[in-house]
Amino acid sequence: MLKYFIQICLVFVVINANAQIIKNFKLEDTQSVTQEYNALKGEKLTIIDFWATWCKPCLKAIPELIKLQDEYKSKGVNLIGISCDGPRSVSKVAPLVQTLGVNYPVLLDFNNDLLRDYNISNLPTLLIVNSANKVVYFHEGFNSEDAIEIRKKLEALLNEK
Amino acid sequence: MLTKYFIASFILVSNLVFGQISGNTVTEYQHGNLPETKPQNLNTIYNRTIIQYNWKNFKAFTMLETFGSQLDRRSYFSPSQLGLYYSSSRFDVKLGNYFETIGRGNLLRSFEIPSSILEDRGFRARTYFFRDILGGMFKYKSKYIDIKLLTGKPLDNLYPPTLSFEVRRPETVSAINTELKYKKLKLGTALMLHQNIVADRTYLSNYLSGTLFKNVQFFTEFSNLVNSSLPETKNTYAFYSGINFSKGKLGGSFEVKDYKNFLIGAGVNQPPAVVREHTYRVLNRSIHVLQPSNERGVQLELFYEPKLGQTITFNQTLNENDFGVKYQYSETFAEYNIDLQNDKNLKTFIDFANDGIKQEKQRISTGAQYEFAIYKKQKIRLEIEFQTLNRPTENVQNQVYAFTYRPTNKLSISPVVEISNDPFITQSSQKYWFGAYAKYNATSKINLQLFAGKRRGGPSCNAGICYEVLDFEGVEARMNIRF
Repeated sequence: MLKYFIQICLVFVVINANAQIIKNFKLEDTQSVTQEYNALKGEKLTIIDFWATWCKPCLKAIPELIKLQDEYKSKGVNLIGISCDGPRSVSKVAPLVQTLGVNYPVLLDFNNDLLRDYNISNLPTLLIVNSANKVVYFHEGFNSEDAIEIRKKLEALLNEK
Repeated sequence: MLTKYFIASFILVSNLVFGQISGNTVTEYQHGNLPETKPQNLNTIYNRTIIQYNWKNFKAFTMLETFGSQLDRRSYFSPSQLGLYYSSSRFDVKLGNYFETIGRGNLLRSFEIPSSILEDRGFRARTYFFRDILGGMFKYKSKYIDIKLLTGKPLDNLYPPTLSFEVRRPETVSAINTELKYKKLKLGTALMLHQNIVADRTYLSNYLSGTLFKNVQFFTEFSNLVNSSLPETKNTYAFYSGINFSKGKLGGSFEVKDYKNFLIGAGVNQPPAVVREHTYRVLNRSIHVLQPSNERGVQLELFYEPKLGQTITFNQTLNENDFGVKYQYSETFAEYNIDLQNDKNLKTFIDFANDGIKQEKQRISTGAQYEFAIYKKQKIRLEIEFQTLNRPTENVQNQVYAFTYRPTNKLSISPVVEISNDPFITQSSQKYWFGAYAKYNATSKINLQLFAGKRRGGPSCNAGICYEVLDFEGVEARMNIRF
């Protein structure tokens, strides 16, 4: 009986689910400075990239994200990288970010709290968040075709406004 | 009954009026079994559902796990996590199941490995791979000091939900952790009491971290046993230190570890391994697994980016375990990645290692991945990996061949062949594993994965955690849904 009850509740839950809202969060960046989401987010849109140094597709995405930041910063789009590296690999985040010339802030989600808050189950995962902090686009994985899709999505979202 | 209707109505109304419900669910069906194991056509299904409710500064969540198996007494339904969190600019409060790490994990590290569903040869019940704490945590945050108090029972994730609470959570940890912050420096101190059926032990940890110059960061932690209810050795400590740096196109990190008798309980801690985690199949299976009971070593990693789209990675690891007999581990790894013209990418690696514990000498691994576009942006990726190593009485060779075809960026199909002559896993001259993977991102909220064939198991490391994956032969389908 309990199982059926839980299943009914699940149906309610799925029906009621709606776009996630990004709440203001604070994390340390690679320079040991605590940063706040509200201070980093874009005027119109914010791209949040969840990645890790050991994740090959994540590293493949970074040059594309650097280009996106260059191209769209002046249009009110800011990028934030969230490194999900744990104790084993966190020491590699800062040198990698600096060597690759990452031009957007990278924050350290060392305890993976954000990863769980936003139900991220694969890396890389890229979110586009609007000015009302609502997640309007969600993308898992990365290949070169995805960069084109993300760009199209950004254009469409910017033109909506 | 009335109560249940009330709860269901509450979920419906509260979401509409106040907060936000979100979550995800992963369902995995398997038809098959361990190779050469009866019944070969075993049917099992596993589901994990997370439901999260957010309202202002509060978050409530639950994680439900369900497993159905044709094998007797393996099926279960388990509300595996339940929690209520509060977070503001000054305070964090977590009640129920939560994840916490102190310092770099010398004393305490809890984790969840995304997308990993584990099964053990003994219990044959599948479960999500995580190690959380059941209890409470309070944190005070300010500009100059953070204070964290926590208590709870960590999960021993070797045991599936078919076993009792006492078996799965046999230990208690209680800790106070303060962090003093000044400019870009942080000084942390933690005192942790660990209690289990064997003894009560108190550990102390001190760490210092920060940024020295713009491109130089460091972290140093020393932890030791300060009190025990047993008359035992005080020679129990864990020391970890790492420094990282970058200059222009060159960046790197250098890490040192020295761990002595520092496996706490069933493994509530996880000090940094200071050994590179590889994603290449032949290397991932060979990663040295941390032995916190006695291990010391160093690791140097360098990155160099001659120009955009090209990276060179070099890693040197030296490691020693002293269990009365000293076992040395050394590994040298180099990788070159280049984006070529016309959307082509080439990645090659070479690795040379000697592993004393596994009695593997002159372990040479090499491989390449080449990705290119064909007609109308369809993509193909070819992967080849080869490994040879010497044990005292034999030479072992492992090979991996994979071909991935991606007709669109939503669909990929990937046949994989693995070949090995390792006498630990086959009596014949060579063993083959033929399998094929398909992945389809139906929408941004739904993705499907399919595997058919024979999959090689063995040691695996993911997100810094190493574990054992079982061999499998059959069909496996997985569906992820976000809501």
